[in-house]
Amino acid sequence: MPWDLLLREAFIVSLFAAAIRLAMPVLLATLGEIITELSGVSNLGLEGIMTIGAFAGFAIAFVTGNTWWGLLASAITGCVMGLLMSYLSISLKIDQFLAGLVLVLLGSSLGNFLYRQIFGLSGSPPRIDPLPAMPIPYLSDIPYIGEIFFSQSMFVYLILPIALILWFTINHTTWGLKLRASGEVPSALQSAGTNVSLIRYEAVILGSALVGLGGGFLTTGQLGLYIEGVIAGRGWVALALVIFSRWNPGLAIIGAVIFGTADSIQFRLQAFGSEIIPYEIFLMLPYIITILALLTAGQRLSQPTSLGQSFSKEER
Amino acid sequence: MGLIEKSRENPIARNVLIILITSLSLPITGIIILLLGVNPIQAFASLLEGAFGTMRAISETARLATPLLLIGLGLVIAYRCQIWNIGAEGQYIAGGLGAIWIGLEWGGYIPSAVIIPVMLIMGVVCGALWALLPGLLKARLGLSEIVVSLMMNFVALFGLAYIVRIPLKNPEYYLPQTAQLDLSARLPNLFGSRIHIGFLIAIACVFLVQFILWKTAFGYELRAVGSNASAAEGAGIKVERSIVSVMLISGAFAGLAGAIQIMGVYYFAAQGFASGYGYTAVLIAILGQLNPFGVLFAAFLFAALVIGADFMHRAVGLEQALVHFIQATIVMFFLIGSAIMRKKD
Amino acid sequence: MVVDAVKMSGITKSFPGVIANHKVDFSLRESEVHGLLGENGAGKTTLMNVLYGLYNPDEGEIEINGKPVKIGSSNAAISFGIGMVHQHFQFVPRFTVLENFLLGASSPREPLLEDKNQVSSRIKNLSEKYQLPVDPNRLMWQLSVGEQQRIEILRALYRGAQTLILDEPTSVLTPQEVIQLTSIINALISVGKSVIFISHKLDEVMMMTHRVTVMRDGKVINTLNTKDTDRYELARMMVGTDIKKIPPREKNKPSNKPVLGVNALHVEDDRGLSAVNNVTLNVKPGEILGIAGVDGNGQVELEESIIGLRPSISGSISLNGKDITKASVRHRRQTLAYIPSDRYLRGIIRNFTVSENLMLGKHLKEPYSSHGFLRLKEINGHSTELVNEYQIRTPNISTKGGKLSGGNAQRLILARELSSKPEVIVACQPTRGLDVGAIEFVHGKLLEQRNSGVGVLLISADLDEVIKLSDRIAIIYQGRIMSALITSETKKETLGLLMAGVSEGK
Repeated sequence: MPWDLLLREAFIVSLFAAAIRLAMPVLLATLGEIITELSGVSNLGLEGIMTIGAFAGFAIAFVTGNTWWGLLASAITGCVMGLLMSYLSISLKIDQFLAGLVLVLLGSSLGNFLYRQIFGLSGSPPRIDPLPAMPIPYLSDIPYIGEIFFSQSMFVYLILPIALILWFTINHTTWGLKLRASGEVPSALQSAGTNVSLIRYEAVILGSALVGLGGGFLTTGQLGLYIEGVIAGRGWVALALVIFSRWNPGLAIIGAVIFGTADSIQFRLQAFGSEIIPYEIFLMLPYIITILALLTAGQRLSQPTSLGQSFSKEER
Repeated sequence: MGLIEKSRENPIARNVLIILITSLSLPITGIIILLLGVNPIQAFASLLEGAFGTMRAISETARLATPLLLIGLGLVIAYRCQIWNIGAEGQYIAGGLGAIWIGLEWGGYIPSAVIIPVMLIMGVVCGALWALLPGLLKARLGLSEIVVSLMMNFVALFGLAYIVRIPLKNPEYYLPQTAQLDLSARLPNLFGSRIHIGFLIAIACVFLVQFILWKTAFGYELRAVGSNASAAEGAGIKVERSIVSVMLISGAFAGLAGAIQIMGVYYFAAQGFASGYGYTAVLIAILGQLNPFGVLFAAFLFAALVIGADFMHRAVGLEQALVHFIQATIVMFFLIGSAIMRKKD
Repeated sequence: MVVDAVKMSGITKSFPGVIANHKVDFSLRESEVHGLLGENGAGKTTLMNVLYGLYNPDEGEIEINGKPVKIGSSNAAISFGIGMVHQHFQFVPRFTVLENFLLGASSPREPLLEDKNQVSSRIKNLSEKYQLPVDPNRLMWQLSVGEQQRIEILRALYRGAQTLILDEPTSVLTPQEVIQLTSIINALISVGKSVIFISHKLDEVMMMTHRVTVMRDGKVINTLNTKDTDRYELARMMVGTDIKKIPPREKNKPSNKPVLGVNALHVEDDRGLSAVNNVTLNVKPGEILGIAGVDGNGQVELEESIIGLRPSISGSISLNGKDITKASVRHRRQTLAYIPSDRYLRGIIRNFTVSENLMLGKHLKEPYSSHGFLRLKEINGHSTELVNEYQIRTPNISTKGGKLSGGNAQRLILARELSSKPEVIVACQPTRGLDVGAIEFVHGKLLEQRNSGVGVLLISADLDEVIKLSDRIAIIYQGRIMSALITSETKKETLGLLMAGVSEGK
């Protein structure tokens, strides 16, 4: 075990730079699901939405030669999946748990099938250019911090403003207020004159767009390719992070970075073939932390009160 | 639509319409096939032929249906109590690992007639134990069994990755996987076919679960709690006990499925052992309307689709992954049909 | 002529099986506090729900300030200046006071929320004007119920209410808070607002209103100036003075050993407030103890704690002298039969068949099961017998429980509970929502059980029923037992007074 390598600065810096990079897809998905769940809908289908978003992003980027069209396509694909989820769980009032699981299988199967059918399987899969790293002048020259935070791709820089806009929308706009009311006491929102179903549709579609975008960013913006299983459970991690971050976008960033760090450590441990510290522990970490978070805070304390319950306009 | 309103009242009309709506998955899939330049009729025909055309295909279907059926049956018990166990994948892994550990330790030193039941029991026990935590947390603290059991899936998944890489790793192989089970620790096949006796166990379990649900006081209680926990409570039924029991039982079934797969199909454990059966079984349980015989049908349907996919791939060039899409749309339209035909009360 | 602020004429509203309002006339003057008095089911809440746009009346007209209007929704009602503070508040507990005000109000700078400081100062102005002290930045769930109510009132005023409907406002308040509410109401009318005060409590109505309208069975009995009447007259109007013939009852030799005993019981409700307050009572074998009271005075909590569904804070419960305060539901139900107040929540499992419902609670015992296995032949045989004996009208014993009518569902519950030969029966609102035939049946069965030596605790909001069936009567009011009297020696209006909170000799 090359301990001396571990303690070298270059290693630690690259570890954290990678952590930020690895955190991004999961962060997008987590932010999206936070919006959805704040409205009272629990969308378990994230793994499927990220998969189909990953495929759509890659395919469109490949065909058009432009990464940004690919990213847009992945967001739109997410919207369509969100529309489907809304229809199933809000309009038809199918149990959200079931609708979400169907979406997982639907998205994953469609993504994998279309990729194989269209691109085939080969030893060297088709590639596109991922987003290049864009170091910010001056800032990226700061020792350590510069390499970690300011030498990322353009899209990563955009994510912080996205998170900020979301935080602002949730807390300082009318729509955000109605969103939160919809997840807490929808009957009070209904009494105040708002159509609860409409708000929930909007939340689920917007949230799913972000989830799809998260998948698309992974393939299109970072890896430059698509393989079966590329999402590798990140959709499920996002569900865990939503709980861990107590439905708060700011904490979601922290949670995603923790995940990214664990992921980054796990990759490097794998590369070193470590036997003393099994890298699998780091893979398990987000899930164990979530159970602990549930135990300590108690889910009930922070979860939107009406999460998971269908709402019907009551007529007496 | 007046037709829909009237059909809600008539049970036969209701079911016919649900079946009709469910089968919408065929034309929807057909459109996608068409857009890809393939003749949908040919595609579906090849699927059918691949699934039922030869004896070998049928026995492969039976082999694949076995774990799906077992896990699905366990889920029926939990879901009928409104306990949404989504941790079958992890419970399946736990059962498989438990069985192979015993098998590798004592295989060859103990006669078949002893080690096989012991391994199966170990699978049952490990699967049940893996379901204990979510069950307890739900019963005592009201924590979502969906979230906790889901998280446990990943702990099991990565635990599997570690166990096959280090403690139980086969030193003779480069890849992370365990050694193969001694011949005496493997499930025997039926009459020289490719179907192992695990299949019979699964079929027997169909009747077992039906019996438990409808002919025992325990089954009565879990159904009562699932239908109206308040009324059950008022009648003196111990709701917490029911919750933990059904989690343990559904974990046991999933663990048994894992043990049977190791002992009858793979004969060793590796990372690919966990292939999503735990999640597919949820859909099968729903499609089977939480009825053991319905689950039997649904498990065979799903298995047949997967087996037929290989032939379909060779015949018309469609990737096998399409059948998972077909599976998903079948369940989706089934849910839609059931929701539309749900009686408004 | 001064025009009424609100005038409702000839309002009729019916639901399947019941006429909730029958040709009701109601008027409200400006600067008036008008009490709407009546028992459960009198029709007061229905009438106000019509005014607030939640129901459409079958017949009748409404005029606001002399102009005829159609009120199709609560938003419409609000636009006509009508505000309502419901018994069950409609706010989001996790939001701050300020955020709850913002809900439903449109912002001048859409899509952004209105400037919080501006809203805050508007709230503070209103708050001072009406002497309702309020801190806009506190979280709603942290406030006391009285404070929450003040905010609900303020919210209605914020949206421009001229007429304020308060539905049983004091049922959740402490005595001090009731006094505060009184001064708030006075402040409101001094600036020209009008208040409709729905209540079943005579003292408060006497104290706080200018006029009072008494309703009974969906009809208006009379509208009077409060100062021209007194509690006794109001009580008589509320409950009626007709005395139904009490059926002859066998003389039972009352043994002195109670079969059900409750001693100094304190039970809290879901909010953590005291619901059952130091209650002591006992039921002897062969007698019916009737506990009468308007809904919401602790009956449900009392019921639940006796059965074992709700823990008690202090005090004890005993069955046949043995303490069962900590015993499980299953243990108590060995000898205690339970007819729950919420039939479909606690009594029947809609998805289960008639047969399965009939064995709920007895499924572990002979003859229904042996060693854990159900004995279907015996179950079916027994079910058929019970269906016949109790005249449960059902196509067959495999019909789902949810398909039975209310009356038949109740027969099923009685069949199940009474056939196991209990020693005690706890019967709660046993005839609520039933037709006459079913009511007679239930009453007959309860008397039959009483005659054969079973002790019956009857909890009911129907005073006539309690008088008809009980050997002794107690009144429950705000969690306390007001008194336990021998039925044959009591006048109905005295009971009405007690139910409305007026104790003897006040």
